[in-house]
Amino acid sequence: MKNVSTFVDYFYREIKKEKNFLAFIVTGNKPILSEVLLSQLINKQLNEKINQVSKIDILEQIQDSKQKKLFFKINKKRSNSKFLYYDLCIYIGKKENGLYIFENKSSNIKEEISKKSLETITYLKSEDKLIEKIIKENNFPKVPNTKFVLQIISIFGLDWIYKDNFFQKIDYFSTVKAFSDAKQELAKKDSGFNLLLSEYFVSFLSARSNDRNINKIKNIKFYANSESFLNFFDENLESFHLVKLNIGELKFNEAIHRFDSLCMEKNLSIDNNFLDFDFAIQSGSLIL
Amino acid sequence: MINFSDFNKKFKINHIYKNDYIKVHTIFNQEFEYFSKTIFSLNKNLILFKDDDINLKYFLNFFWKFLSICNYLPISFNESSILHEKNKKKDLNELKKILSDSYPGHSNEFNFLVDKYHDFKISTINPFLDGGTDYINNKLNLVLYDGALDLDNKYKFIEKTNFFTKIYNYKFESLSMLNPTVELLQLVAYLDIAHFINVYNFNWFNRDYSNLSLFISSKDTKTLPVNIKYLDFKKPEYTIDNQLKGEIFEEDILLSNDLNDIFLKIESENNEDKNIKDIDLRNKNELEKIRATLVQLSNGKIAFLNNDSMSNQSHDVINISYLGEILIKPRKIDLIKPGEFILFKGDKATSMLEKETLLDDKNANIYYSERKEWKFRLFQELNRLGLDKVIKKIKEFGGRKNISLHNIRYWLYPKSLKARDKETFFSIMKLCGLHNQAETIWINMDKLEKAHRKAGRVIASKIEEIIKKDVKQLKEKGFQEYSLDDEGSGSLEVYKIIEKGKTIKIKSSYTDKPMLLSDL
Repeated sequence: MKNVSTFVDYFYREIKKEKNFLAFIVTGNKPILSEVLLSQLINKQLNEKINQVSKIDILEQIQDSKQKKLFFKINKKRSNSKFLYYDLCIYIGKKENGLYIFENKSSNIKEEISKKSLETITYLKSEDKLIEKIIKENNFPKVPNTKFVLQIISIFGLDWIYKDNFFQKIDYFSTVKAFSDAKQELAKKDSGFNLLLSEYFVSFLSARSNDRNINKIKNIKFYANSESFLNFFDENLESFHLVKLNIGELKFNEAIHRFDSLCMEKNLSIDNNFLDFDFAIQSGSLIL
Repeated sequence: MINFSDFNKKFKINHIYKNDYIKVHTIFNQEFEYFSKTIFSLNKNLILFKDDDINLKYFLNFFWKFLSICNYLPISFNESSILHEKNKKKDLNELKKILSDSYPGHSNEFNFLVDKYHDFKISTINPFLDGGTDYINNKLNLVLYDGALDLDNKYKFIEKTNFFTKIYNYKFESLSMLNPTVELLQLVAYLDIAHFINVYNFNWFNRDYSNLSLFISSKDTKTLPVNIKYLDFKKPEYTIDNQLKGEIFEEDILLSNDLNDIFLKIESENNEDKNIKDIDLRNKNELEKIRATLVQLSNGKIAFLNNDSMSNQSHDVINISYLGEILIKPRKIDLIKPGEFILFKGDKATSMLEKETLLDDKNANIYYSERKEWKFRLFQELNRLGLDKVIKKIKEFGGRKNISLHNIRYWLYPKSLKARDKETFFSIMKLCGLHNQAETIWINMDKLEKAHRKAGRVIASKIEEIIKKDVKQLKEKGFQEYSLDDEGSGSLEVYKIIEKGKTIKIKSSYTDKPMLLSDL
């Protein structure tokens, strides 16, 4: 029997084949299981990215003048145990006594920073347009003050906040209450979940929402309950779908009925890796 | 990064495919069953008036809510009523009067419900605990209830069924569920949060849990069904006293006979019969006799009620339910009590069953003549060969090995239809020279048996209808004769039991009819 992590591994392996597919799970109505799966899906993507990049050396970035970049420095006065606030800075140059001079656009002052204090600084490397936009709006980034966030920043800088193409967000469909309860519960175990399940990585839509403007980008679409599946699943949508139906929940019978018809029409994938998971009553995948 | 390894174990649900994962216990409670069924039937009959009649709506909703507490919460009737009455606004007795005026046809039901509710209010019985298991306030067991109300703090290890939104970090030894719906049981069963699930169901809740396994019709996706064991509970004898009992007046006693004298007289006759030297004649006499219980009836009559082991040892008694409904019910003769009214089919009534059967099956006359024919032939063979040889022959022809005098007596009894097993019946037919027709007669007797059962039900309801009309007079007078139709073929006599005597062997022709001492 295979576990949650293995399921996620298989899911990404299937994505690499680039064919539209649907993986399904019929399971007991276990609290937080959906969100654990969702977090693992995000975590997996992040891990893959981490392996592709090396840790930021801020000194190297300051000295490299080939590409335009913005720097952000933690505003210690405003920051607290829950959130970190960053000020927008532009690098001006280095003084003879070894101090680095930045223009703090947010506070509108010049700052001289020692080499040791450079660790409070991160950066964003981007094309002119985005940089101009950020300078113009003078937007202060605000992020949760957790070990996990600092770890992400140390690797990716602030790319994950500003760049749309940094991460393929997961379109997640569930009920508001289940999602918020699960987030709270998971955050008790590890505050990192606050970031994983934040809007930086998840695009959430309530199962009962009337909003029909579903993201058409070839994202992962995760329908975490029967209502979501019935309301939002579209087999013609170019995407990778994950459907999780929970026994006993509202509309479960209707959803199984619809899913049953889908299985009849599409047939199960023959070389199915999605069978026999110890958290599922039934599981499998269909090629759409 | 976040460590997910803890979660991998947390969601395992593969421990549910084992023997006896779900055990279903059946709970009986006659009083509450009657009470519930009355609410159901009243609701069904008056549903059309409910929206326009505030009093009726309140009354029915009041009881409906009480039921839903008792059906799903593991507490006593008394505690259920306390929980329920937090929102009580109207006086039930007042309502009962108003509703009885508005719906006079249902006044019995209104009275019954209010009276019974008052009984339940002081009853400390917890119907679920009557299931025999101490599963409440047991730390190894979690009770799940499907209700909106909160329970007192004294109840521990009890949760509302929405518990599954909570996260438990351990697995329970067992879960107890009270009258769960199929959907709820399915949901909980697949959560795999306890090693075993015990379901406690009231016997009048017909829940079929056989379809708990889930499947998708695609060929390769299968699900193992979870194992459900229905524990075998014997339904207890429902022992509500018959409400229709007549008073035994001085006049009844005056008209009565000395049952002991009658008993001694018959016993001495029986002893004389035993001394008959002609074995065949003695056997023949013996064949005609069955065990019967002597009873003194009203109006000075007596009767011998067939209490022989070859019969079902019961007699029709007129019952009246809590709701005033007249029912003809067979009761074990040993359980019939003085004061009760018993029913005799009059002299002409023997044809009643046949007449009713004929209405349903036009060929019944042929079957009846076949029955008469084979019994007549068997009787002739008995006269010709004697009892021992008849039994020997039937065995030789392939009949069962344990044939006794009682069996022969039963087959000769004019109302019996056939032997229990086909082989024995065929060998009787062979003995009677009817071997060629054995298959046809067997089938026809079977048809008659079914037709009799159906006709019996029709007749019983006709009798109930007619007795219902003047129960009061019956109680005052102590006996009554009824006629079921104008042709007089269905006359009935009802007598009150004054005294019960001993059981003794007597000629079957004397049984199950009221008679005077001089008729003996």
